[in-house]
Amino acid sequence: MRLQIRYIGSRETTQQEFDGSVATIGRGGAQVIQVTDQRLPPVHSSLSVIAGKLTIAATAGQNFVVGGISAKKRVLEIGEIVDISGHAIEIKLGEGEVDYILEVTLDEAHIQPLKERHQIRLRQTNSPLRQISWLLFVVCLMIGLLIPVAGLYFGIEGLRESPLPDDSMWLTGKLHQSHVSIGDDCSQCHTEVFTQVKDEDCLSCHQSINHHFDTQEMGQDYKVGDGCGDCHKEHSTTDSITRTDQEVCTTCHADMEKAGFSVDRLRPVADFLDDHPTFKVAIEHLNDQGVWQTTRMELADDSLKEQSNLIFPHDKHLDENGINSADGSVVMVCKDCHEPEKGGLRMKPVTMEQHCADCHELTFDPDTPDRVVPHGSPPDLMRTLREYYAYQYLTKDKPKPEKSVRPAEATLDLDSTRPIRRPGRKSRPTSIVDLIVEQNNSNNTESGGGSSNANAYIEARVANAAANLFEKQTCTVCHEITPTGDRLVPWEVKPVRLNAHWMPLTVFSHSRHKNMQCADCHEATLSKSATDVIMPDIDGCRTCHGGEANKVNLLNSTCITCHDFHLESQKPMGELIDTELIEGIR
Amino acid sequence: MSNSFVSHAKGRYFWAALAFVVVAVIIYGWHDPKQPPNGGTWYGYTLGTIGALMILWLLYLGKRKRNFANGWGTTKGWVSAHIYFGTALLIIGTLHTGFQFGWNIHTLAYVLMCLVIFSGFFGLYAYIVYPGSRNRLKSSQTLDDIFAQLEELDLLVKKIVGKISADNQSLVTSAINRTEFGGNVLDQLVARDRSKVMLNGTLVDNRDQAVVVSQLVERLTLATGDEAQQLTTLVKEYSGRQRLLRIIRRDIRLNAIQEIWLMFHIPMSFGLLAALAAHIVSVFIYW
Repeated sequence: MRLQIRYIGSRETTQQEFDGSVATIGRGGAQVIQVTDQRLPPVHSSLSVIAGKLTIAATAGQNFVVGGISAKKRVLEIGEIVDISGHAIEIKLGEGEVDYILEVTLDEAHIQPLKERHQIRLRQTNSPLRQISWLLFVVCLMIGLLIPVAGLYFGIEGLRESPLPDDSMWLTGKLHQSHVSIGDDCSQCHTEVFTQVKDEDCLSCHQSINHHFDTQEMGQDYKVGDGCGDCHKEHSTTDSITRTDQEVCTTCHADMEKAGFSVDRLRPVADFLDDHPTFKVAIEHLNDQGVWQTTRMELADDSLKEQSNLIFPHDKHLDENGINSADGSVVMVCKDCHEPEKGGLRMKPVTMEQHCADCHELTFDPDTPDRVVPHGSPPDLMRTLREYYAYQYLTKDKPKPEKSVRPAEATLDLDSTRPIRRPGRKSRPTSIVDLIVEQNNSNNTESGGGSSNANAYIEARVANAAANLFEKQTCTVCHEITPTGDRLVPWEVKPVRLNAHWMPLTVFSHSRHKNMQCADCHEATLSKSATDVIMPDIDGCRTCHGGEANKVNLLNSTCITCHDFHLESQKPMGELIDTELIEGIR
Repeated sequence: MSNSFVSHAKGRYFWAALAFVVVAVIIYGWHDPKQPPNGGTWYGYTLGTIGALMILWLLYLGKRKRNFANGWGTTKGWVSAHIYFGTALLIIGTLHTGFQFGWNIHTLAYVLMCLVIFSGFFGLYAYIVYPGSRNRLKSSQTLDDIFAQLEELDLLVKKIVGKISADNQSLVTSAINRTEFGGNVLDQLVARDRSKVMLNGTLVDNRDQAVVVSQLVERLTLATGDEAQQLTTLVKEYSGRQRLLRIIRRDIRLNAIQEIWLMFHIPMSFGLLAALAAHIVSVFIYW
């Protein structure tokens, strides 16, 4: 299809030729027949030859008028005039190679000047700024508030399982690592909307957490805040949610009286480095009634003595040249006896059986060096001796039993006994008591025996062995022994109690100090007596630990570095949550 | 330079905002919340309240601008305060977070706030830089002046070409009628040129009027005598037209860049307003 397009203007007529199958009509510059009227769309209609006839077809929603009749598609005859919004296109037969001549007469009143045909400013583009703005507003509000809130009222569980935004949108930070199991169930703690988390919400799990003091006496006024949330803030860090500052404690403990407490045994404290009392230790001692009692004493007190009633020189045991044992010389170290418990807070108890008995054997008869008396109970010891010698009396004329542990020495022949010997000492001559017993025995044997003879034999042997054990060779090495005058249990041992917790009001972890040497804090090698208290005072700690304000390159140590707030000795917090219980106390 | 809002009233709002930020930072360094700093401490709540009120006030400027004849203060003063306190908000908001961020509505509000502020920074840059370069581009004329020159030139070109041949007239008239500039947002930003010309019965691209100029030059080489002289004039005038169109397109482009940030700044502000509301309400739902 070859067209000649003539634009008939009031001042001039121009013409263009077109060669193609479809000639578009519209406002845009890319249209074959350009009608720069802003009322028209960029593409209004198109001309093409269908079955040998020139046909015009309007785009969707557009129409044109031919011969006074509005139409959307029409075959055009020569001479017809197509009217598009007042602009006329007359169809004429072409000449030569030109198929048709189209005479376009534009309604100049509606023709835009070049400048106005295009949007040259952003505000002319009708970009949906307002719509986008409100859309973003609504989207943010839906995601951040409306959908999660709807979940609160119509089932948050279902919402959490759906891909829609839920209340996790509101999570301000990760939970503390020990609260991880709560997961995304906010309502476990946030039980009421628009209400701060209540103590009951915490205590529903933390049932065993205890008060700091006796709230029956002092009410529940912790000064720095009564609620869990005053010291424990969630959603900030995953490693600790507990206030560590000194103010938590010093609000009261800097001046207990001023804070309204009259507790004279608690000395004022404001800072570990600058203002902390010297340490006290708990000394256990037997009172007049024979009951163990704990007294707290200043480490600096000259009269301070450990009163365990044990005889034990640390210096001898820690002699760097070694100490004699049954197996030769041994160099002992602290951890041979002192081992931290799992978790490292306290030391495992030191026991005779586990830590002393290797060297301090409780043997009593050289003939049976594998036989020992029980430790800890003089009556049991005496009973063991009596049983042993009674048996010996009964079997002394019988064939000798198979040699048991040390065949060379296992014999009842008194003449060839191996002298009992304390480790590290030279053998001693047979005592006069042994000779008397021996004499008695031979007399009794010769007279034919009998119960009195047996008794004499046994008691003499028992008396001899017991005297050796209690007074000479064994018990007395470590214990204070006093005679009782009682025939059955002639001696008693002063009760011993090793201090299990020197500083019960602190939490000291040995394992966290394992890179230090024991001797850095405990001068055990200089201690000649078990009455020495070799606990370190505060100055030792202050070589590494500073106070809250780290002024001198020391470890930042506040009260709760060493002290607990919730004390095991107090009642559970949950127990007194019922305010009726403390009503009238405040 | 149309950036007098920067130095408005001897930078009164600059110094006020600076003092405000310095005080806020000093208090942040001094305060000891006894927990990691966050929006829930006493200072966190204080900064949050101040920040929220600032956001509302800064948003109010958008409305204030439209009826600047009313109320107290000048529009220039308001814009100046908007810039400096908007910048201060970046610091206030950041301190409010306590540098704690996460995938939640709170951080979304913070991110939207930052996007709004940074797009504002670009706007400030554009308003400082582009008016000057646009002015130099147009040799201190308005765009209307340039269009007036173009219209005049178009008439002249049509007049000259009318004297030559119908062929050339068809080419030049078609090129003038089918000259395009501007367009949608993207067209304006990249100065897209969709101009066409009807050449030998087909519509071809006429970007930068290059096809027409080269056609005229080609015809000039073949022409002689009077026609050659008229074609020479035509080429000269048409090249002038080409130059004007380049200025127009470049000015449209610079103007678009100068204003495009608002298409970001304003919707983000609306998003921020909603996220802020959600942030404030939600922290008290799960208090």
